[in-house]
Amino acid sequence: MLKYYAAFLVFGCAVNTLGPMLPSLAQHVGLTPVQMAPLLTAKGLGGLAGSFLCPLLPLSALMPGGLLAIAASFATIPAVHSLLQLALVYSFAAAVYQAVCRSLSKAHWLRAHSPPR
Amino acid sequence: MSIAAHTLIAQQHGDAAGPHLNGINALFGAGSLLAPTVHRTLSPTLAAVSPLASYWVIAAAASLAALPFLGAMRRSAVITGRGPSQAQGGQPARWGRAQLLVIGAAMALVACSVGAENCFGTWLFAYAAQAPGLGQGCAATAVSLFWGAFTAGRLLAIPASARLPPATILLATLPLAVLGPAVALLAPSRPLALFAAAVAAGLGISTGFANSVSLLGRFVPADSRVQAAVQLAATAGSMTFPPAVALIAQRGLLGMEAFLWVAAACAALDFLLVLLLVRAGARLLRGGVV
Repeated sequence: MLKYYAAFLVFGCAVNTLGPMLPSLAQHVGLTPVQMAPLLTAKGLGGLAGSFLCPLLPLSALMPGGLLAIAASFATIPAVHSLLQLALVYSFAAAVYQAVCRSLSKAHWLRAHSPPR
Repeated sequence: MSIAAHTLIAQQHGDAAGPHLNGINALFGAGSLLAPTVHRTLSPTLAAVSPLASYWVIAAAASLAALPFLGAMRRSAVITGRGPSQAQGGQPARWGRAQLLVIGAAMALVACSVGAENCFGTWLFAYAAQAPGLGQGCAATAVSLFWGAFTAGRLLAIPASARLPPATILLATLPLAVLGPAVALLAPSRPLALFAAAVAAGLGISTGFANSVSLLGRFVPADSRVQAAVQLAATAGSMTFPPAVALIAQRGLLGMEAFLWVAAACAALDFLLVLLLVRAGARLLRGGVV
């Protein structure tokens, strides 16, 4: 169980870090925080795309795959210097997150409604 | 990821999963509390390397958290089944007007709820950091208080939902989500007012999503189309309201405090939508459509 507790501590930190980092991100790309609106829209669009392009993932790969995808996308953020690149990174992370959610949601439903063996 | 973990834990622990599920949700809240603290603590230290170096720290933490799962990876079933509606056999039943009204009201409710949550989560720090009399330290504390109250609200809602219907919980908590922004607007530049606003808003917003979905589930079966509709609404809420704050501020209609107005408007609209949903749902059940 400890691995789930650790994973959720990281999720909370990663998911809700955009707000506190927004002024720093804006400064990094030479904009003001209110000019970062496309980043927020791109993040939402990424999530939307991920939820509808839900891939067929093996259940056991979902947690490590999602965590590593978040790690990879976050590691690149200090190296990017344009709003477009930031938007791409955040939309990718959001797409992965939502794709994982949809895959598991579907798997959970199928498992719950499959006939007993 | 959240659903993934909840499902896997439920599968592993069965009826004993409850405390673990509450525990991981509490840890998610603890992580949210840590986000501004990590940034505030690490930024001065790592500023020479990169002002965004705290992202590397979070990336490293995510990689470490993935390791135990990689060790436990095994071959598992690939999802190949059909979706819930199709799996029930034949074409899914078409929604009538009454069902469309209920689902539409619930979608608007979810969109506004997620919109208010995202407005606070995204803009609270930026607003407080640049507001006269507040500053970055105050901003970090306010964000931590918001997510702390949000997490506490979700934990308190667990025993409450066993005794109270979702509409009652929503109608009892949503006024807090209007009161919080109102306090911050009435007393700008006062740290204590901002902290009180963050706590009230966090508690008020926390019950929105889960209880909206629960309320909808009382009136229509939660098949794949309903799930997709709720997810679409949640994404629409997170995608439109926070950028709308930026748009309002850019146009000069309001300053960055626009997020307080938008969040309060979302919560007020949610209150009306709960009443509409309850009324439309009761009519739907009386009509025997479901």
